[in-house]
Amino acid sequence: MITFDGVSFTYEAAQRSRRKRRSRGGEPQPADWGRLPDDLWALADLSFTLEDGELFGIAGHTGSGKSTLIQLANGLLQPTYGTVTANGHNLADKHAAAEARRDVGVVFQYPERQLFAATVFDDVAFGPRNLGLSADEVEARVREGLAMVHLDVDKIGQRNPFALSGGQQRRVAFAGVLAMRPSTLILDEPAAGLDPQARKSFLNLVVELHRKQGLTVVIVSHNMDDLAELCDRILVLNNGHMHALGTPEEVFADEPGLRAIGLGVPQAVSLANNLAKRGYSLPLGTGLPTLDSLAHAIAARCQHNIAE
Amino acid sequence: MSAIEFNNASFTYDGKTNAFEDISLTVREGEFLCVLGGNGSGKSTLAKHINALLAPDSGTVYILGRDSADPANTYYIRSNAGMVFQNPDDQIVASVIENDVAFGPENLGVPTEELRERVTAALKQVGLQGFETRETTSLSGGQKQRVAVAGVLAMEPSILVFDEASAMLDPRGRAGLMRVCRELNEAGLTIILITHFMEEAALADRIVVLENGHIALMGTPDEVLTQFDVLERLSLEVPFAVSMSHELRKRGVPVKMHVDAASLEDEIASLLAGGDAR
Repeated sequence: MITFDGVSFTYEAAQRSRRKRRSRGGEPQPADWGRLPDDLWALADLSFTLEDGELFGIAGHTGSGKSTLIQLANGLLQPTYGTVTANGHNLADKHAAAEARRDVGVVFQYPERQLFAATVFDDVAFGPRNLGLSADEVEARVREGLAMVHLDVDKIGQRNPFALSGGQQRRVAFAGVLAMRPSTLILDEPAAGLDPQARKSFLNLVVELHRKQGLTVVIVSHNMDDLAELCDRILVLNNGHMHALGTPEEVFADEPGLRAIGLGVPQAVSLANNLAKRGYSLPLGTGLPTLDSLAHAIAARCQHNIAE
Repeated sequence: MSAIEFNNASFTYDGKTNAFEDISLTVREGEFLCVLGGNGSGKSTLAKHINALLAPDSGTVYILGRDSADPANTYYIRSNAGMVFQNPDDQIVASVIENDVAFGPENLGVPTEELRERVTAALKQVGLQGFETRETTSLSGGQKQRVAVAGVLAMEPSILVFDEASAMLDPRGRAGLMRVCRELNEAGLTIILITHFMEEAALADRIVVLENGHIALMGTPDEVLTQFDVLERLSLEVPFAVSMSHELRKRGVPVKMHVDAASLEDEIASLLAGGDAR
């Protein structure tokens, strides 16, 4: 469980040094919005809790604060104001932050660009080795990590990672994070740059890890159809502020609001909304309209019309 | 004269399997052609033939009327057919934008005064006027790609090849790049767009779908993108409107196959209205 409580963050050096002074002793200062122009806050007064075992989506434009949020969640950055706690431990504490970095696995955008070792085995083993594990334990972790992404260490372990396909490279990079046995995974645009087939299978893999291994998963994405389909809850960020937080149904209920900040809604939702605006409200039942449910409702209405 | 002409062209990297085989394709000057296909279908290999990075093993490829296999034509073809690749960071060579854009034409020996004009004009064409002295590191991914396009435009090519150039951009960056792409096409450039994004493909005059180095489909976006079964078979992304049309027809609703969501919505609305009127 990771909790953000009134978290604000700015990359401005002046603010950072003020924070350092504060952490050396003085009383915590309230956020002084007047001193710093609004657009210099990467995140502003953000509060939410990531529950154990949920599949959580984050949507927002480039520059909305998504990457900053990720780095705060695993203790890579410290909030300028507010606190981030992981399982009850404040990440301002060095040891808690170190623990969070191990426990919260982050798969950054284009993780295959971080591959560096001569063999797949060594690349995946890098993290476990740094934990100071024995050679046997490291091998077990590598085997396990690769198996979780459906790669076989005996077949692929001694190959050069750079000779693999893009989709496979991404799996290897992903295995390197899984080999650390995190309880939470944060994936920043996990499917970006993959072709449609690789994209589908990579997202399926993430869902499978969530379901079978019980991992808490955070997916950052621009793709509203993916977020609607996969996530339990979605956080929408706009210029560092929380725009919305809720189930896909709740978040995507406000199409105009999302359009106003340059985002959209899943395509089936958009079509259903447009038809409703033209006076054709269809009985779609509960939940967000999907391709299937919408097609079904339209067909039923048309047949009904013909029968009359 | 056509801009690009492939005549029964085949190419192999390893001498065993063909990256593409017996491709015949003519692209007229000023055409906007989109190339679709799964990984390994031969898209990028095809692209590399357009500016003579590769030449066919058999058959011929003519670019702007010149045989690409003849080394004497290589220089002419390369300076007239520009390419923009996937990763913006791989294509920026200088730390200041105007230096980066000037890199290509400078190497062509363009005199300094003209160089300045070309850089200014190229940046204007990609919507980055006034960015001359900014640092390349201060740009977003989408802006970097547009700088890469400007660097190619400054060489005044007549053909531009985008090899999955929008794959790493966010929706805003992608929309900006596509706008540039269309404006350049309207200005007369021949555009070859390789992409996985169907909303980009829908903007083209014509689409070629490659499958294992062969042309599986060719036609207008309406003709190609409505082929639900083929797109599925080749694991290409099926546009939403096409999936929806397909689902409705499966359920006996007599809609046409639509590529465009707005036109599908109109037809559904009129079908629903038909019943109300009775």
